[in-house]
Amino acid sequence: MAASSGATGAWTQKILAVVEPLIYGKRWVGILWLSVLTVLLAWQAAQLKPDAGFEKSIPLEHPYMQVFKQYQADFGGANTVLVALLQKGGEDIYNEEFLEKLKFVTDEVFYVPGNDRRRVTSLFTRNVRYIEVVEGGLSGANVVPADYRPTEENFELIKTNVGKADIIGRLVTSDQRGALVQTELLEFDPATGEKLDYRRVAKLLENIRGAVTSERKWEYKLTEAVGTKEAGTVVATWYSEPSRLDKLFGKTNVITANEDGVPITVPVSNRDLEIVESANENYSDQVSVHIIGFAKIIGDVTDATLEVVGFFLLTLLMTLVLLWLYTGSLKLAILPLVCSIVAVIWEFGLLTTAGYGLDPFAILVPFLVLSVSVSHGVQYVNAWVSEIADGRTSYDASLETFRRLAIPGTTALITDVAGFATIYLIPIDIIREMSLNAAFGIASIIITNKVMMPIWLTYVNVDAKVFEKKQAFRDRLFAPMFRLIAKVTHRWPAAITIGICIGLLAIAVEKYPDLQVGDAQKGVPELRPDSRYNQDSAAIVENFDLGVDILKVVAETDPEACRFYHTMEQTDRFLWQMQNTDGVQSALGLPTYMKLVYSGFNEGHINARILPRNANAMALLLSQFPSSTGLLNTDCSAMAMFIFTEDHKAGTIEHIVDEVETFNTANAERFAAVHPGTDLGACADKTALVRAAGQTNLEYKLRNDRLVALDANSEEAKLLQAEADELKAQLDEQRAQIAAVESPCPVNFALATGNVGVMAATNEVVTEQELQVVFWVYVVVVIFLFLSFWSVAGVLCVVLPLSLVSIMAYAVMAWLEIGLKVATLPVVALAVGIGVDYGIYVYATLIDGIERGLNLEDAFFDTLNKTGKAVLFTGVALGVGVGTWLFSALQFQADMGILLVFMFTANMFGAILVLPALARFMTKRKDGTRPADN
Amino acid sequence: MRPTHATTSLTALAFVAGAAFAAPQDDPIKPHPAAIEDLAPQSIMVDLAKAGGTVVAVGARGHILLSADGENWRQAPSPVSVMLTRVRFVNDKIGYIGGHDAAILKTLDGGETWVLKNYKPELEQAIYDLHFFDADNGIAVGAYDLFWRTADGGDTWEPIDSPVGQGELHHYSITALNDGTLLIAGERSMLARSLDGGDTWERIVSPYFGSYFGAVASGPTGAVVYGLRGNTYYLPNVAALPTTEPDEYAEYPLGEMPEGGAIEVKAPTTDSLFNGVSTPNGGALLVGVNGTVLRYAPGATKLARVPSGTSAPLGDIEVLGNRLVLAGESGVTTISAN
Repeated sequence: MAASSGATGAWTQKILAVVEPLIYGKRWVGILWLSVLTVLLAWQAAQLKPDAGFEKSIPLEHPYMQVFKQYQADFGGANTVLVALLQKGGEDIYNEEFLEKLKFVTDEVFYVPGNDRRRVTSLFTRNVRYIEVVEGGLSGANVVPADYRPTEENFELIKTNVGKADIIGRLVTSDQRGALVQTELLEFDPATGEKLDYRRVAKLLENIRGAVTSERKWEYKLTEAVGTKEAGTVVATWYSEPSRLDKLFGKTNVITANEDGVPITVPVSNRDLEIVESANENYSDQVSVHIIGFAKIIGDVTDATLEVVGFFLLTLLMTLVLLWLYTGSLKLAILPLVCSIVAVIWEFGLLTTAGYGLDPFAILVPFLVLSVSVSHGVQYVNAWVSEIADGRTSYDASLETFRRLAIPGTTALITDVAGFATIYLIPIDIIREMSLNAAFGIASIIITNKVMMPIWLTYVNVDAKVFEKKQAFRDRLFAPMFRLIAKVTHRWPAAITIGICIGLLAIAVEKYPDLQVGDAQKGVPELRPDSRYNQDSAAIVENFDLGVDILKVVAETDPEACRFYHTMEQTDRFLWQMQNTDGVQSALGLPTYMKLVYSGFNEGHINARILPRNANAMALLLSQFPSSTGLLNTDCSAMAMFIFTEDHKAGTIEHIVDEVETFNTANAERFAAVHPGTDLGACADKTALVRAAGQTNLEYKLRNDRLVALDANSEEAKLLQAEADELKAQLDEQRAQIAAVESPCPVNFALATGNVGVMAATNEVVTEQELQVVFWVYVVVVIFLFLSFWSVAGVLCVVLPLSLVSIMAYAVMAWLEIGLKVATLPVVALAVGIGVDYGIYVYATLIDGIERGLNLEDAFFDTLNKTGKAVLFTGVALGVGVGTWLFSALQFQADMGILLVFMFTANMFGAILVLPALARFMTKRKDGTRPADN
Repeated sequence: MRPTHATTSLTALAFVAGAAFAAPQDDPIKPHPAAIEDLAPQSIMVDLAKAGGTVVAVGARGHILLSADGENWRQAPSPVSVMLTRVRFVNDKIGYIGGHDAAILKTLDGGETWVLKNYKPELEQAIYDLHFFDADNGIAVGAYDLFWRTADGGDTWEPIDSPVGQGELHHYSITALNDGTLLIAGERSMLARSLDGGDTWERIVSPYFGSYFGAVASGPTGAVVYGLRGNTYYLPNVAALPTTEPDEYAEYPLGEMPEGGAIEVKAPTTDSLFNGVSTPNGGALLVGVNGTVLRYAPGATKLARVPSGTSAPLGDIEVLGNRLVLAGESGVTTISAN
């Protein structure tokens, strides 16, 4: 049988001539190195660690995120954790039980690792104060008195203070039946540079909830002394029943001291601890606890991983059963599965070797790899079985199959790898990780599917008679259907098929603009709308006025300039403009509070809610606002403007961001008009310098923080010190340049931080890069298709159905309201990757038949019998398997499931219906003649 | 717990303000017209007045709002964007507005268009109240002794030379009583009166040492004065009250109040009261912080609370048919008068 067609025929012969002996020559060599590699990579894969991170999910190179990083120490980031306590029943929060629980939760949150303790905020923290006007001046104090005791007088006092502190809607619900504890997480420990363990934080947060809402508790007690801790000491308390896994394999860190009294941490296996269950005396049936934040999402997504793996196994099992039914041999059914699993092992091994962990949001990548691998495996086994049925030996059948499928299969896989590699263009670390991850996986398939499987098949002994019978039976069974399908190569059926495709394309193109970028839903789209997390999120949004969606804009000015009226007036006007912008719920910042306090200085009069022109009065006002308020930085060269948005839909965010930019430009022009000597060009340069200095400062601080933990005489410390000194010099230089700008400059409203700021940047990057990614994916596909078929017709026959499915996939996303975001973006490349396999296998066989002189209908009928069966089988088997994902607890697995089912089936139809219809009008033999017209 | 008293008081602030300080690149100050925005009716509004059947509201950012029913408001163009503190109408057409930056605006068409008559931001003083005897003759009072008069419809303003204006105090209001007596109420127990149409002024004894934010005429010769922390007094005969000498001022000069000279009217709250409007038969409605609306009935010794449906600070109240128009921190709203 001729290997392939066209000018590539000679090429493929050459390639095969080189590769074949390598695989089929000394097979034991192949077996040996494959085994060694698998063992090595399996060992590496075993080291694979879950690796979640906030920063890698944001586009750090985006200008917004540079502002984000520059001011993170001053104004926090977006990695917020909110713990809300709601009083059940109709009572307000001013009672002993509620306040006790609120105090308890505040204290517990304070000790959560990685949390920025300065930013812990609740009624019980000292950064929450009130001011009131009394005769002769102002009076201010903590909302909850420092010597708080649960007395009726104190409840009344706290209630009054809460009213005065202007925190209703923020820290206390509007109806005063709930209160909030708020904090922010730091991803890296500043001193050690150690990365935060999000799962641990999530577990501890859940335990805080349990401490209030669980009736039982489980105490882990030492059975023997550890350091200075005696036997019987409680070293951990959990409020949910420990799992068997935890009891057997979990470890508990015991903080104790050695003989010299030096504090040490000793990990003790839970098997060596006594677990005692008892009633939780802290339990309250009056208070419900709701927790949201990135850490909690990570925790919940990771918790669902076990379930995800379950679905994964279910998919495998279903594929196995279907394969068994299809081939009639368990041995053969297992083979592609084992090869696929080996591919995933290699993928994990390579990932670990490259220094990565597995991100919870990338959990679906191995499934994709598995699906692609199974798809190729089925093709291979199917072709091999056909050869066996034709009476060949295992070895010859394998070799023949190899000759026929190695080149198109590898082409398809290389196209996949390239497709996944192109999403690396998107400058978000987590997407890049996914890109590498998928590329590693697909590259592994090339080996497992095109080397391991062929060798293995040469050793498989089966009874050819059985297969022959089966083959004949299958042919009879499918023949009428295949005959019917082959009619699509006739003029009219082909024209009608193409007509329908054009109709579908029109519908899809019309639907495409509805595709949402970012999140459209409330809560998080990764989890089900009815998940615990999203319910918590809904409860918090409902009960607190100021939502959880915050865009922080940083107003930048000269150091100490915020005591000038003209500076603050700009920020005040900015906030008012934002308040008047659609999609903004409220906007507040330093001027908001300065006006409030100025009114306070003026006996609380409402007509003194202004910014005074007098610089001394301004300075006095400012003295009321330390940088710990989070409203301004220490030298007041930057102020955070908080814009609470109504939702986080891409359209809303885009509009607000546009308005900020419009205001910034208009304000600069207005400033220049009234301040003679203003050079806006110089001011723009100054802003760029401020940004550059900000980045230098970050680098400098990073080294300084590291130095604290190091021995000053070590080589590493010396190196760091030298770098730090250099950076300091650079920073001083940059600051001098900033100070040297003579032109007066308007306040610069720099975008952006806060969770909405992160979304704005991510959406921009995704929107900007997405079409570019698709473009490059197709460039790669087209190049490889051309190389394989050496004909424009071949490229078009495969690419047109493929691109139709791609466009339809977007329409399906728009229709199902699945937003285009970090978690769903790989779908872009995926849509292409899956379909290209089918197309290449089908077209290669079809053109082969035509070159052999068959007419189009017969050639296609032959193709259906050879590869079409496998395409149908794969489409159905994987479609059914992946269909089970719809029942996953993870919304994004369900979303992916829907999209994959769509793509498996749509591409299947594309390959067996649309491709031949196109071929009807396009294919020619290499001698230029058209195939006989049926 | 003891609240820590911030040392800052108003005089301290005034003292600091007096010290020379040159901001390096401070404003070449020009008035900026107010922006017309949808949310203006929800911005801070502090004062209300009626021009015929139209209610005019003024407040933050130079906002001037007009309404016939108190529900639907439209924003009139304003030549300034500073906080406007007071609006007064001489008749249906002619009216004046006072505000921060010593801004004084005038209308000749019932509030539709406004002309800037005075704007002196460099003084760092605010106008807090205006009283016009007729279209051309009027008095302005305000922050830090601002005490001016005009005889040409606001084109020029002259300081009034009076010891009453020499204590660095805020004059929050000027009110004409029913017998023609003019009463200024202000910071730190300040009450001053003029019995000759504003030519001469004298301080009078005060029943309370804190600040007064305003006064409402009540009865043939009386006034209801109100201020900080809900303190409210009925002064039956303002013209008859004894005077005190400005140079005798102690920290809180009260003077000796004669028997029956002032009758305390207890408020059910310690919320400060900022403004009020007289009601028929010598009654009054007073408003203040935390959405407080209180009703004074003639002869009563207690103020009665009127449910306002809001907890936001209120700046003024006006009666419009059977509705009460409220101006405050969250803008302009109406409630039922019954």
